[in-house]
Amino acid sequence: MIIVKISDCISFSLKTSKRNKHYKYTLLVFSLCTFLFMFGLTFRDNFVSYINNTITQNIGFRSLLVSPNLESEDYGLSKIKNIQHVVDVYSSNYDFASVLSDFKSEKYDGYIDLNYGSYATLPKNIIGESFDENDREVAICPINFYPSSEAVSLGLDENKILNGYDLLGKKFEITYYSYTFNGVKAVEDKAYTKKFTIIGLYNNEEVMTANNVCYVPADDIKEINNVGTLDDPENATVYGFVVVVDSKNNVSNVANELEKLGFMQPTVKNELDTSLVNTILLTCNILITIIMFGIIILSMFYIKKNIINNTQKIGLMMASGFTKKDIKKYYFIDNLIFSLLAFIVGFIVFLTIYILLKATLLHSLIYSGFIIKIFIIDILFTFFVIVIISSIISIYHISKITNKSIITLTGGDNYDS
Amino acid sequence: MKKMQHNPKNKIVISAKNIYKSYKTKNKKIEILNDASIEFETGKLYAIMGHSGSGKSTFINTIGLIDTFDNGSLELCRKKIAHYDDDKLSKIRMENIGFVFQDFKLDNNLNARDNVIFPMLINKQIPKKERKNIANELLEKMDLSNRADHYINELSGGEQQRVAIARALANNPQIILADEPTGNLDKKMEESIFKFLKQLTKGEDGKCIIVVSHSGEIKKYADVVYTIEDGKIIGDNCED
Repeated sequence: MIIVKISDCISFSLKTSKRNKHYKYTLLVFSLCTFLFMFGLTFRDNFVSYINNTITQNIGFRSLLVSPNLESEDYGLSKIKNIQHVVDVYSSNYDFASVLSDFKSEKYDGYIDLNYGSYATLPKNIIGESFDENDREVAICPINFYPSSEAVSLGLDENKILNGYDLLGKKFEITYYSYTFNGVKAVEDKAYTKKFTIIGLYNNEEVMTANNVCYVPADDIKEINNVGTLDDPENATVYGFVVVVDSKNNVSNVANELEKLGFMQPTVKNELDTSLVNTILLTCNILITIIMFGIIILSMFYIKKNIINNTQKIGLMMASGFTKKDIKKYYFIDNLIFSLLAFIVGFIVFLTIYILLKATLLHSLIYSGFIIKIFIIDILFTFFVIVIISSIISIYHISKITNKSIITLTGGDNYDS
Repeated sequence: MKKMQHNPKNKIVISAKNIYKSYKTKNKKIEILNDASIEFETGKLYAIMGHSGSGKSTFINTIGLIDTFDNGSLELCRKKIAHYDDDKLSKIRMENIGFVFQDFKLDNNLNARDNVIFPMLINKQIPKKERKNIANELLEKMDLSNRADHYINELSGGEQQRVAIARALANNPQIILADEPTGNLDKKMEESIFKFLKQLTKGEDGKCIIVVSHSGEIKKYADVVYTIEDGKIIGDNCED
């Protein structure tokens, strides 16, 4: 039979906690634990998300660079195209072109990179229009466009970022050069210009490219880079091929196949130091586990101590007519309020620091593709560890103590001595 | 045991017959209550005396239903207490008995009023909004109306014990069991506590107050004095 009401339990629990210094200190410790736990989980999950995005979205992680097979008629190009999972192959001469654009101003140096654009290499999500192999002089640029060589650095000036939506449909001009060899070195010979219309936008954070990279049709890249080579474009030396594979999982199969066909040491264009990633993840997981067990041990210790400190009060409650169920309910709610308060305070501190860091230190990381966010699953997991586990522990301890006799609890002797 | 005179205005609230209670230690069995029979009625202050280890506290714990007995029968407010489960015993305690302890057992984190309100949380008969008024009335009765908002550590020992008495009265029980209520107090405070306890036996709603005490001072206020010796209760009606 339970008589005591939840509202009374809450009201008296809050009243008793108000003046209890020990309660406040412990609350502070638990709030700190909540903060650290949330921090650890958020860091780990953002890191994993970043790594996953990098691997899955950036084409460099599923592109192989191979040397040409000089024994084959077309350097082995047709053989590569026939390999299963290969979605595109092109000469590495045409991978990208660094050019000077008319965005050059006091704010920017105007240098942008034009990437080889094909159905296989273009970003999946494009706002506006895309292009196909027949199109020329069109470009797909970043939503947050930063036409400067500074774009590769981490600290971008937010105020200088151009809104891609304002640029849709507008043209920009690039300048590129032909070269001659003066006997000592290659020198600029003649300047050429070319205009591109921005027909589409992409989110460079999603595909992990810098904010000054635009995709243009393959033929435009070929034209620009052929002008820039000293060789005769028709018979230019092929230094290698970029082999685009359909997914990261098939890269090693394609690499094996290339080796079988006689291509020497195919290498993945962008590779990740997995040992470092694994070390960081392992460290995160160890820290999170330590904090989690710390919280559980602290909960056990605190709840046990809290209930032991209240032994006489529990005895008095039983003597006054509170049933065991009333007492279990009362102390369960008392501990629930404590853990909820610790969770709320810790979470607010975490949220405040998160917002402050995001607005300041971490802000520049956003433009280099590191999107920091809070995961709901982390909040739920922290809630589970801080609130649910400690509530379960409290039920155990309360049940244990209410099984004792009232005489033992009130501190009375078995017989007066 | 001398047969006590029964005042028809008063009603018998505790009737213990042939109560046996013993404890087993490692080496031997200690008899605490040995064929103890006694009746208590409302409107009287009873003193239970005896030397250390005589079983005074065990006795009032037994009649207060916070300790068990080996044999015998016990009636509380005309209800025979036998084979009652914990919930039923809790209900009987809540409705009929108030406890006062030597060390007060007050919650230092609550003020005087909230300490008095606390036992009312399980009394369905008292509406939530009435609790404060009842607590204020009880504190006024204990001459503590100006101390209601004070926290326990801001009160003197005597005041704390009066708060404890007010708390024992919170659910308007007919029986108050006080185990050495003045054990931690000086002479002056002791006197005032006994006076307050005596006061509670007066009037239409006079309580049955049973006080376990070492102090001879209680004899001045008690209507009946019992002494426990060798597990037997020996009566001494002060009214005679």
